[in-house]
Amino acid sequence: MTHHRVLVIAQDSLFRNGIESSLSGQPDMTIIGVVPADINVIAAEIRRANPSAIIIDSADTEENSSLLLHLLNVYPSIRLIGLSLATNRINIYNKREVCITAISDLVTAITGEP
Amino acid sequence: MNIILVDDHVLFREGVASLLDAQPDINVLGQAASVAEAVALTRELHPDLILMDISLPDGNGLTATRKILAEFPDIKIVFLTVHEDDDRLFEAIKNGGTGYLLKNTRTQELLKMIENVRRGETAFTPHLAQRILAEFSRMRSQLSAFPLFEEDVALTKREIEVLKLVAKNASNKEIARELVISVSTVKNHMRNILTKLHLKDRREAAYYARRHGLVDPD
Repeated sequence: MTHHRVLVIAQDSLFRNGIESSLSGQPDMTIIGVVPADINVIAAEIRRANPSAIIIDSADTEENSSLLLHLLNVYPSIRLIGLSLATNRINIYNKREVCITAISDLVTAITGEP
Repeated sequence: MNIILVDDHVLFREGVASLLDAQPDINVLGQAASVAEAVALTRELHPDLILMDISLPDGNGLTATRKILAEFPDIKIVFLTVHEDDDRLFEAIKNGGTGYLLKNTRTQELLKMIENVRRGETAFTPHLAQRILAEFSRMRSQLSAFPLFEEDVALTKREIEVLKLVAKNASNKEIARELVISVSTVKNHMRNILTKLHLKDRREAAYYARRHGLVDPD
C-alpha cells in the first residue's frame, strides 16, 4: 500500500494544526510538515521532506492563486489539495502535460475524451 | 471543561475538536452544524462552554446563542468566526457572548482563551478587546455630550423650557410672555442655565440647545 506524505500549508494556525491533528491518526499517512504560506519556507520543506501531497488554502485570494500556480508549475508530480475556511469543498489540482502532435491533442485536452 | 463545537465547516470543526480533545483538561462532548443541532445538543449534553460559529445554514450563531442562554444562562458561549466586523462583534456581546475569537487565532491563543473562560473571565484577543473599549469610549463621549440629563448638571423643567425658546432666538421679553413669568425670572433661569452648562452667553446656549436636539430643525 502506498504511504502518503502530506505537507500542510495554511496561514491560519488553527486550521493548519486542526488538519494536522485530524489526519495524524490515519494509517498510511504521515504529516511531514505544517508551514505558513511562505514560498521560501515551502520550497525548503518540499526539498527536505519530498511530500506526495500538499494541502493548501484555496481561499480566493491573489496570494493563494499565485502560490497554487507556482506549486503546479514547479512541482507537477505533487498532488495539490485545496481547502478553504469558507466552504465545505475540497479542490484537487493535478497538472497534466501533453505533447502536441496534432490539433486533435488540443481537442482532447478540451473535451477530456481520448 | 466540557465543550460543544458549533460550526458547519466539517474540516475546521473536526480539526478544532481534535486539537481540543488532545488537551488533558478539555473534553469535546459533541459537535453541531446548525442552530437546531446546537440547541438540541446543548439540551442533551449541558456543556460548560460552546464554541459557536456565526454563519450557520439554518440561521446564525447569534440566534442560537439567544435560544441557548434563555434556557441555560450559566453556559458560556464564545464565538469563533471569520467575521471581523464591529457590527457582529458588538451583536455577539449584546447577545450574551462570553468571548469573540477569529478563526485565524493561533492555536495556543485559543487554548489560553478557553482557560480564561474556565476561570470565569472573558475570551477576547487584545485586538478585539481594544475595539470593544474604543466603542465603549465612543458611547461614553456621546452620553457626556448630553449633560442635560446628568444629575450634577440637570436643568429644571422650567430651565429646559427657557433654553428651548432661547434656541428659537426668543428675547427675554418674549420668553417671559410665552411662559407667563417675569423678565427677571427669565434672567435668573438664563444665569442658571449658563452656569450649569458652562456656557458663555445666550448665543452659545442657543447653539448648544440646537446641537442637542432641543428644537426641531426648520
